[in-house]
Amino acid sequence: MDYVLKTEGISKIYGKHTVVDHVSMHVEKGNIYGFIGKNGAGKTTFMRIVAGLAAPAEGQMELFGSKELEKQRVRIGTLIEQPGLYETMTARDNMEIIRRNYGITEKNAVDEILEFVGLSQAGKKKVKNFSLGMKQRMGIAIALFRNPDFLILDEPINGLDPEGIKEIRDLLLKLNQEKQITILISSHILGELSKIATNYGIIKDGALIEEFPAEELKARCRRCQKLVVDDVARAVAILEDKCHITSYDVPENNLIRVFESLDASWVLNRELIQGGINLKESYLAGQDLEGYFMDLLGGETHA
Amino acid sequence: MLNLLGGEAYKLRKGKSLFVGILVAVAIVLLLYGSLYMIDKINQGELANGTGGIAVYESGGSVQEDGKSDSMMEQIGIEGVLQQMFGGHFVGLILAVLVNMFVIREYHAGAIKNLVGKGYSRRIVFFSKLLSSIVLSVIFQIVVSAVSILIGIPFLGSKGLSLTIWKDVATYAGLQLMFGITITGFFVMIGEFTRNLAAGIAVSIGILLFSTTLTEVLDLMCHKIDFKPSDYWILNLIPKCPLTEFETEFLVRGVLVSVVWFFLAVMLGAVHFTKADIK
Repeated sequence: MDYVLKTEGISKIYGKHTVVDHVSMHVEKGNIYGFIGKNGAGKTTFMRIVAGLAAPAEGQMELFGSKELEKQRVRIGTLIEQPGLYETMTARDNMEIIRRNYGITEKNAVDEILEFVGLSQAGKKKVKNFSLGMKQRMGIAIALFRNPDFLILDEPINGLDPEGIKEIRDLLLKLNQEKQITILISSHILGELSKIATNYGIIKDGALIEEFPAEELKARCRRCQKLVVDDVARAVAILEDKCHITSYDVPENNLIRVFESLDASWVLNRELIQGGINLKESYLAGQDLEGYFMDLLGGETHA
Repeated sequence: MLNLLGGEAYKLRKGKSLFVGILVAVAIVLLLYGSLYMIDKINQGELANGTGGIAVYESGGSVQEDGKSDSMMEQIGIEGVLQQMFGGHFVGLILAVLVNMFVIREYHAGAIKNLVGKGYSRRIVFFSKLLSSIVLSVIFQIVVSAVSILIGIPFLGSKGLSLTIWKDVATYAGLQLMFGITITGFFVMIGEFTRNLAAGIAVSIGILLFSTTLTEVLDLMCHKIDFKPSDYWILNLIPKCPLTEFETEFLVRGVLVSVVWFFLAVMLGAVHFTKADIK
């Protein structure tokens, strides 16, 4: 596997409170990794550790397959929490400072990046007069300034209007598909996240409880008939032989999920009962992504 | 490092704080000379006592035996105004505000996140900030010295200027510049530790104004062992710096104390910056 980010047991402790608890994350090259968790779950702290803004209490990390983190971080663009901007300066001056700090010699780079994020008309406007969405765009401009290979974006669509959200979504997809930029992104707008993420990581109380690809999430959220039976092997045989079911899985003991013939669920029930199976439960299930995460995280979702 | 210094220079140029600080210093210098001018006019009876809120209780007598003028302006002269500006901590107070603003605004808006973890070691980021703060401090102090001299010329006139010992003025300004660089190092350290504008300025001004009293208390406690801690505290040297007859002992002590405190402050600031998380 070609990992852009690989962590092993990363922890962060503030006083007696463990904010990040042995997180082992794996972000493959080319992924758009959706990082999901409630407020205070540890997402931002973990991202700050990866970006070099905070030191982990323990654990190992590799960036682009290397442990020389300081050297590799040149290849990362970040937008963590609010963008770092000098409020009393114009957008152009802010970007000019960044250009000089990063040693970018092309003087028109500032105009190009402002145009790229749709702020070319606001270059002479002071940042303190910017809307939240405009500031977010500035943050994205800073993150993209050095053509990074890996973007870390913490709530990048916060404060954006629907049009702005779509623009950022399209931009991220374009960066990922055309420039092969790997993206680690957190957002509390799960519907939006699900439109771009190729992989997910779920963090709860500082611990990364699951990592899985988007396809698996779709499968988990697929509409299905759930059958709780006493003898799974025999029930499966009946479903295959008598009902000609081929699309199913057995995620847990005694539970079968059938993904076809949902309009004729009663037929499956009848065949199983006639076959001597003790059918304890049979119901149609399925949920949207948000519902799935709510179940997983317990209660109301906030990323 | 050069890239970072380029960015810092741009910030200095675009920011208004240095210019505002200089304007405030110019206003104070003008106020000092203006006050002396009015005192002389009150003494000469050309203005009523109490004009502009200035009341003269002791005129300073007539022409003295050593030939010195009884003009307050000429007695105090450029050296005296310089001493008031530096020794009276006017420069220190403005520097406390300027340097803290310059350092802490990086944290205030989170702009420091654009530097740390972007291919530069934290040490380099800290030293670029320190260097640019020192440049800011040196520019400010040189301007204050120059303004104190230039504004003094028309006020003092040819007679007053003839009494000015320029070598002493230069030595005094040079020593104060050195002390100023050291306290700039202190303010950078305080800014780095507090990372909060109000706290940074308050702590800096508190140290500036009250630490000298504390060292004098220490002097009292240490009098039996014939040791004066206040002689080795940088902020005591600033007001105690003589205007003339610079003794070698003071010069050597001044340089050593400046260097030691500067490196101590810088080291603490650098260690904290490299270890502490950035929020």
